[in-house]
Parts: sequence; C-alpha cells; structure tokens
Amino acid sequence: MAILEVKGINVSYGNLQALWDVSLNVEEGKVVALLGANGAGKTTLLNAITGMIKSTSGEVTFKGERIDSLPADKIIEKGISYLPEGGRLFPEMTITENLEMGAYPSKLWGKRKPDLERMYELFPILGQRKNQLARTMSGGERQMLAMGRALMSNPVLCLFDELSYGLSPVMAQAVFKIVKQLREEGITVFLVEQNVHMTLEVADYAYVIENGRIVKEGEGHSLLEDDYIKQAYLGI
Amino acid sequence: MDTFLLILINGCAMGSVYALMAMGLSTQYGVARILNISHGEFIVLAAFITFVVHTRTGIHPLICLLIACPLVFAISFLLHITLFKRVKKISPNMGVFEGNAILVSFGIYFIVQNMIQSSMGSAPHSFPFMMYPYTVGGVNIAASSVFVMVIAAIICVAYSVFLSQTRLGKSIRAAAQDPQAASLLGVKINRIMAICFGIGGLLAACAGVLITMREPFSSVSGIGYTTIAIIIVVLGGLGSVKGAILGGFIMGIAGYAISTFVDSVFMISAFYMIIMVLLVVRPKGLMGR
Repeated sequence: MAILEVKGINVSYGNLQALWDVSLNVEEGKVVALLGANGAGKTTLLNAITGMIKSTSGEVTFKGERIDSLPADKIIEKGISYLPEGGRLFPEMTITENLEMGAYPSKLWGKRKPDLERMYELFPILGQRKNQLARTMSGGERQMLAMGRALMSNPVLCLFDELSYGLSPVMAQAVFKIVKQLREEGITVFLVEQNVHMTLEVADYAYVIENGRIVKEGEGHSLLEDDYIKQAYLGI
Repeated sequence: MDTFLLILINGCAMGSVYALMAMGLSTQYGVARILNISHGEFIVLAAFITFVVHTRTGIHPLICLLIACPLVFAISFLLHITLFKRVKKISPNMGVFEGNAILVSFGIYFIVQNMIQSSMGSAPHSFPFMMYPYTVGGVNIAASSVFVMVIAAIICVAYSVFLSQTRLGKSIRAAAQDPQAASLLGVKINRIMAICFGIGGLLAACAGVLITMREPFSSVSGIGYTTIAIIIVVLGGLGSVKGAILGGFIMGIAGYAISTFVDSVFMISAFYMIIMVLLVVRPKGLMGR
C-alpha cells in the first residue's frame, strides 16, 4: 500500500513552471528514490510535499489524508520527518540540542529523553560528544546528526534530501547503510538523490525526474541495468 | 590607584546595565530582524514608571520591575503582531523588511519620545537610592552600584538559563541561527519573532528600572541608550549574551574613564573610536563568529 501519494502536482515560480504533473507513490516499508540532476525539481517536489511551497494544482496524501497545506509541526506529528538539503543543523547548538529540536512539536517534546538515548545508540559518535557544537563537526558527522535529528520524532516516513551530497564515498556508504537499517525497522524512506549508482543499489523503487517531469520509473536494480540510465546518469 | 578602582567598579555597575540594553537590542535584531531605534525609549519609559511609582508610593524601585517588565513586554509584543508583522508581510524579502523595520522603529521612537516628553518635561529626574557607601580596598563605593550590579547579574544569568535550558529558549536560538530549518521542524517563526521583540522590550525595561537607581535620566535620554546598545552589540557580536556582557563592561568602564579624565560630553564619540579600532582588528565582534 502506498503510504505517500503525490497526484498531479504542478508548481510554478512566477512564469517558470518547475514541476509538470508529477505523480508518484511511496510504498510503506520501502526505500523509494527520486533521482535527478541539479535543478530538475527534486527539492521543489519535497517542498510541495511538506507544504513549504504552494502547488498550483494536485494533491499530496499521507495514509489517505491530505497533508500539502498542513503546518510543519502537524506534519511532523503525523509521523513525517524531513531532512533538508545540507542537513541545516544549528551551528551554535550542541549535538544534544540539535537532536532535541527534532522533537520540537509540543506533543513530542515531553517524550524526547528516551529518543535521545536511542539516537546515541544508533549513532555512537553523537553519544560520545553530546556537548560539542554542530559547527565543529566534520561533514559526515554532521549528516549523522542531521539524520538523528530527523529520527527524533519517531517518524514512519523519512524524506531525505541529498543525504550523500558532499560526503566522501566511505561516509556516503555509511549513510546509506543507515537507510537500509531504517527499512529493516519498518520505516519508509523517500530519498532524493544525485548519487544514482549508490542510491539504486539501496532503493526498492525509483523515479527519475528531468526538467520538472518524471521521465522514468522502475525497481532499483532494474534501473541500474536500464540503457538510458546507464548512458545519461552512470556514464557507461 | 583609588581612582582606577573607582572607575572599575562604577564602570562595571553601569556596564551591567548597558549589557541588559544590548541583550535586548540583540534579541530583537538577531531573531526578529528589527534594528529597533525606539529601544531606548522603552528604557526611558520603564525608568519613568519606576520614578513615578517609587516617589509617589514609596515602593522599592526594584519592585517596579514587576510593573515595568510585563507592561513593556506587552507593548513590544503587540507592536510586533500588529505593526511589524504587517510590514513583514508586504516586504518581498527579509533584506527589504530590515530596512522598512528601521524606518518603522524610527516612527515609534518619535511617538514614544514625544509622549514621554509632553507628560514628563525634559528635565533630568532622579531620586536618592542607597546613598551610603561600602568601603572596598580603601575606596568608598556607593551601595547602589553594588546593588545594581548584583541585580543585573541575576537577570543575565536567568536569561542565559532561559535560552539554554527551556524549549522556548532553544527554539529562539534555533530561529536566530537558521529560521528556515527551524520552521521545518515546526517552530512558528512569526510567533517566535513577536516573543523575541517582546523579550527585547522586557530587557529594556529591566535596564530602565536599574538606571533610576544609579543616575539621572530624562525624556531625551533614550536615543543615547539606543546608540550605546547598538555599539555594544556590534562590539560584542550579534546574538551573544557573553559578548553583550563583555561589551557592556568595556563601554561602562571606558565611559567612566572618559568622564573622569576628559569630559562626559565625549563619551559617545569615544565609544565610536573604540568600536572603529575593534572592527579593524576583529570585524565579527569580540564574541562573534
């Protein structure tokens, strides 16, 4: 069953149309990816899903309920967590404080303590340096913290924008390993990525977006063998 | 030696009040993005409230915090949700909003200043408060200086604890560092901005109440306080409580040294000299990053 359904989304910035009739489904318990180059409309779609920008038409439903006009705290309380591109940590706050902000909505704040412990277990490096300021961490550690912050709200669906961007191949592998781990725990993950190869190895299903339109979709491994994908995205 | 000790202690007492002024301005600008030119008028308003209440009823001036703080918080909060929120709505981006907000705050400055001046006149006001001295290291120090310093320190600590320990405080810091990321996590930015503008007013009120215990003030003192607060925020680094305290002490001591050795008329120009030198050496301020 699709936990997240995007139906016929159109988005325009003034005269410039960024998304054209985009539809996709994210199946529960799966890792689903959206692949595309810079400027293809990936982040725009995430913003439309989370209601950060208004779409001109179309709708987004989560477990059958429309969510595209809900405020951010209500979306989080429903169990959707959004990790924006670049992590967007609070540089002058400690690791613990950054994690706590992931449980900011009032229904979650009171229950944040056990979730903090869970994050320290999942990411031991965070547990070792609870009071370190985010700005003093390395790129990979920051991405771990950003993931931890996104998981603090106990989400059933994670929207991850460019998880691997700017990371070394080793760190990127580590990050994708956590994505697999989340799937094993039954968490649905919607990955938005440029790193086509690594993503398709993890993703159960993937969509390819170009110039604001979905141009291809299929199972992760089958797309890896697809001639068009090989030529346009993998350079082989 | 005695003169130096005197300058140091009086400077620190005044500096602790300056720190409160700067923390207020810094909160308003750092989160709500309003460089509030009318900041000093709310300091003066709180000072007059204290003066009137204390001289008419004999209530301890410190108790006036309980009147002035909620009142100025409420005025500031309401100004934000009525006036500044509208200005933000019609500004295409935050850069334009910042410019517009300065102009609006100039308007508030004139209105509040004129209202205070028309009702209280422009003569300096003061009342006797803890005039007896303490003797420290052979120097006589006014008890009021010590009292003001202690109260200001308590307020600074309370504010730091609020920012670092409470949910609201953490969301304020998050909103100052990355408003967009904070709003993605469910922080209601407009509400936080209004609260921060209110808190800035509350800190102005604290400074105003404490000023009455130390020095004469008048209905035209406000713009000077605003200027000092702006200088300290630039000196200490925006949004830094530590920077505001350090900057406040530096300016307080420098101010006393100048009025002792030169002439108090030159105080503000000397402040500007200090800041110019500092900005060449450390462009981000003492505690800025």
